[in-house]
Amino acid sequence: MIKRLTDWLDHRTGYRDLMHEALNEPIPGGAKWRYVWGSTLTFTFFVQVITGFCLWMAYSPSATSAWESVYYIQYHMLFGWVVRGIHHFAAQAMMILLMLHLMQVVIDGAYKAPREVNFWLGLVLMQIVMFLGLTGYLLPWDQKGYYATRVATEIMGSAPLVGPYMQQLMQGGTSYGNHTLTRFFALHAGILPAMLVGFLALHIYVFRRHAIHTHSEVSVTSSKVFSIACVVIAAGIAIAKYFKLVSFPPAYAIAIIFVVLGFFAFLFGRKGKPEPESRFWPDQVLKDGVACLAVMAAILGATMYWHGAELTAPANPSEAYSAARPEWYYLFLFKFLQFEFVSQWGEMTHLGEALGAIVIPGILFGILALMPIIAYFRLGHKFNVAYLWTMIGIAGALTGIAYYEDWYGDTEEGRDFRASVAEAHRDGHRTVELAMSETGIPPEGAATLLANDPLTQGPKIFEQYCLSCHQTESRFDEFEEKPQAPGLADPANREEIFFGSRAWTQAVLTDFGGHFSSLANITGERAEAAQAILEGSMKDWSDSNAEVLTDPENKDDYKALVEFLYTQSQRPDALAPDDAVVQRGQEIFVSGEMTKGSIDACVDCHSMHALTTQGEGNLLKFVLQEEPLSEDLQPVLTGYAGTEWLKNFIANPQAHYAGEYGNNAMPAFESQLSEHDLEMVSRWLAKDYYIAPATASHDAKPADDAPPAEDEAKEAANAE
Amino acid sequence: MTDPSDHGSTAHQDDMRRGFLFKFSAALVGGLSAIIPVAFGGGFFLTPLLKKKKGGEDGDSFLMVGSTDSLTPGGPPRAFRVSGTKTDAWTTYAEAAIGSVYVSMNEAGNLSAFNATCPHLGCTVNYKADANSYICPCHDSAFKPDGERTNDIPPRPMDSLEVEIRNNTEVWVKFQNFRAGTSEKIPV
Ligand code: FES
Repeated sequence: MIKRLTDWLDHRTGYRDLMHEALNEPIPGGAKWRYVWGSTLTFTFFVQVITGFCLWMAYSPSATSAWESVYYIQYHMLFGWVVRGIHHFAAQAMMILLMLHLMQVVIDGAYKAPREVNFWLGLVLMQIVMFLGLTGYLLPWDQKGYYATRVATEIMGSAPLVGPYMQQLMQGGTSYGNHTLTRFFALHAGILPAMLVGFLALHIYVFRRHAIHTHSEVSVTSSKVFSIACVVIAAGIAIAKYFKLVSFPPAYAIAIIFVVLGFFAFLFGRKGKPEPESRFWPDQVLKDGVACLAVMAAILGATMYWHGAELTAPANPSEAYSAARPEWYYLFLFKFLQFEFVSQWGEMTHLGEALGAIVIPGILFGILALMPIIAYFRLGHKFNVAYLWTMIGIAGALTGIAYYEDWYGDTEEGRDFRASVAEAHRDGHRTVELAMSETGIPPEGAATLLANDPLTQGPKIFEQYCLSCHQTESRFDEFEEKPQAPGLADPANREEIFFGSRAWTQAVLTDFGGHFSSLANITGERAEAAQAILEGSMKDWSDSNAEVLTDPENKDDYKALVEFLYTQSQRPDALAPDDAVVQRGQEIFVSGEMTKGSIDACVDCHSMHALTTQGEGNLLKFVLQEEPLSEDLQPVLTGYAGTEWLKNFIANPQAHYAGEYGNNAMPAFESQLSEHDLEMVSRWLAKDYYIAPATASHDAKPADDAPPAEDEAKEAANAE
Repeated sequence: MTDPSDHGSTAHQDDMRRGFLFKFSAALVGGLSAIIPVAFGGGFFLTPLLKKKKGGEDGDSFLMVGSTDSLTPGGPPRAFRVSGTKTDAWTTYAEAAIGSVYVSMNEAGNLSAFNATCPHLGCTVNYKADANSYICPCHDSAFKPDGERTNDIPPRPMDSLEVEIRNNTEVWVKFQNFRAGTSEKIPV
C-alpha cells in the first residue's frame, strides 16, 4: 500500500532521484567530524527560523510597543522566555560556528581552485549573519540594544561620501524612532533571511558540484606550527607577567586565549585516519546529527543557565547609558576603535572614524576574500593560514582585553561600566515589576513607568539638588565642601531612607544638637538662621527632656511617641493610626505625661492634625481626624515626613514649616524643581512608591539570574 | 567458515545490519535535535489556548454606564457606551471603550439591560423606534424590546445583563460578552 503510494508520488515528482542525489553524496576519505560545521550552521539557521517565526507572531515593532511586546513574550507567554532565549543564544552559536567553519575551510585548503566562488559565497553568508545579529539586537528596544545599535549606525554614517545617506536610510530618518524599528524588523525578519536562504542554496549547490574537499598535508603542518607558537606566546606572556616584566593588566586573560587558540589549532591540525570512501547518508548525517544535537543542547543549556535573554530597561534617549557595548563578536572592533593611534591615523588620513571602523576592517576582510587568488602562488596557502590565525589571534586578544577591562579592570571606566550595567539591570527589573503591578503598562509605553517611578527618579533628583548639603556619610570624600545638613538618604542605596525614620526621630528628640551639628558648616546669609536653629527652642527642649525620654522605665512610652510620629508619614511599615501604641504616642504628644515624669508637650509648639482610620476592609483608608490636636503653630508636624509634608517643605521650608517666627536654613526649591521632580523626590523620601509583593510563581518573576560575571560586577559596583 | 561464499554473505548481513543501525540512529538524532525548537515553538504558538485568562476578580465588575435621567419609564431603550479598564496583551488602557449596552426602564421603574452585540455573528444591533424592535444591520436578526427573537436568524435572544441603580440615579451594569452563534449563552 505504502509502496504504491510512494510509487505514485515518485512517478509524478521524481522525489526518489532527488533524495538519492541529495543523500548519496560520496565522501572520499570517509565521514569526518570536521565536516559537520556547515550542517550545524544550516541547522542553527533552521532553529532561528522556527523561533523567529514564533517571536514574530508576538512582536510589535514600534517605539511604544517593541519593549512592551518583548516583555509580554518574556514574562507572560508560554515558553516565551525559552523561545526568546533559544533565538538569542542560537544567534551567538551561529557566530561561533561560522568561525569554526571558516577555519576548517581555510586550514584544510577547501577554498582553493575550483572552489573560489563558493568561498566567496560563504563570506557573503557570513556578512548576512553578522548583519542579522546587528539588526536583531535593536528589536527589543531596551537600553542595551538601543545604545549599542546607535553606535553601529553612527559608524555607518561616518563612511566617506555615502555614509550619512546610508545611515538615514537605515534609520528611516535622521533619528531613532518608529521607522527605525520597522526598517530593522523588515531587514531582520524578511530581507536578510530571504537573502540568506538564496545564498545558502547557491552555496550548497556549488559545494555539491565540487564534492567535499579532503584536507591537505600542508595545513596539518602549518596548524601544528601555529598551535605550538600559540602555546609559546601564552607561556611567554604568563612568565613575563609573573616576573612583573610587563604591567599589562589583562596579560593572563590573553595568555589563556592563546592557549585556547593553540588547542583549536592542534585539533584542526590532527591528521585524520584515511578511511574507505563513505556516503553522506547515513554516515555523515549521523555525525552531523550528533553535532547538531550538541549545538542544540548547548543553546538550551545557555538559555536555562541565564534564564533566557536579558531585557534591560526600555530605550530612553534622555537617559544616558554608559555601558553601551556591541555584541561580543563585534567587541574586538569596539576595542580597536578605542586605541588612540587609530583616531590619530584617522585624522591624518582625513577619514576620521571611518578609517578604523570601515576602511581597515574592509582591507583586512578584502585580504580574506582574496585568499583563493593568493593560493595560486607558491606559499600562498601557507600565507593564508598564517593570516587567518594571526587575525583570529589579534581579534581574540582584543576581545579578551575589552572583556577584561569591562568586567575586571580596576579603572574608572571599568567601574563606571559595571555600575551602569548594574543600573540597567536594576531599572529593567523595576520596569518589569511596575508592568506587573495593577496599573500595567499604559498606552504611552513602559518608558513612562520608569519616568514616573519615585524609586527610580527620586534618587537622581536628590543626587543633583540635595546631596551636596545633605551628604551621605559614605560619600563625604567626594565633596569639597563639608556637609551643611544631616544626611537623609543614599542615592546608591535607594530603598533605605534615613530621613523621617524611627532612628531619625529619636535623634531629633534626644540629640537635637548632635543631629543637626552639620548646620554649623553653613556660611553666608543662611548662617544666622542655622545658628538660631542650633541654639533654638527645640535644642533646649531636647536637652532638657532627653533624660526623661531615655529613662528605662519610659522605654515603651518613648517608642510610642516615635511610632505616633512615624505613623503620620504613612510609610509602608508604619503602624495604623488606631494601633494602641500609636494611640499612646498621641496621648504623650498632647499631654507630655510619661510613666515616669513628664516632658514638655509637643502640641505647645507644633501644629498637628493626626491621622485616624475610616471605613473597613477594602475601603479602609487613613484620613485626618476631625479635630486637630493643635493648630496655627509652626513648625507644622501634620503628616510629618509623608509625601505632602515633604512636597510643601522642599518647595518652601520657611513658609510651610518654620513660619514667621521659626528658623529654617534650607533654601526653597519651588523655583528650581519642576512639579514632577518635586513629587518624585518627595515620594521617594516618604517611601511612597509601588513595592512589589514577594512573588513565588515562576513565570511571573522577573529574571534576575544575570550572568555570573555581571553579578560580580553588581556587587563590585555596590561596594564602590 | 572455509566457504568463501558463506563468509561473504555474513559480512554482507553485518553490513546491512550496521547500515540499518546507522540509518536509524542518524534519523533519530537528527529528528531529536529538530524537535526541540519545534516543541517549544509549538507551545509558544498555542499560548492563547493554553494560558488561563486572569483578571475579573477586582470588585464586583459592575461598571457605571450612565444616568437614569436619560430614561423614561416605559420609554424606548437607550444605548450607553461601556468603558472601563482594559488590558490588551501588554497594554493596559485605563479608560477604554469595551462595548455598548441597551438599557430600558419599565413602567414600574425597573431597569433591564442587553449587551448590544448581536448573538448571531457579533455585529452591533440597532434599536428601531418606528418598529419598536432591535434589528441587526448585518443579517436582519430582529428582537422584541424584551430581547426575544422575532425571526429565526439569531440562535438565541439578546444577551441580558445584570443592571442596578446606585446612588439614586447611576446606572451600573455588569458587563459581559458572550460567544456568538450558539443557542446557549456562554460567557467569553
Ligand atoms: S450578526 Fe446580527 S444578524 Fe448576523
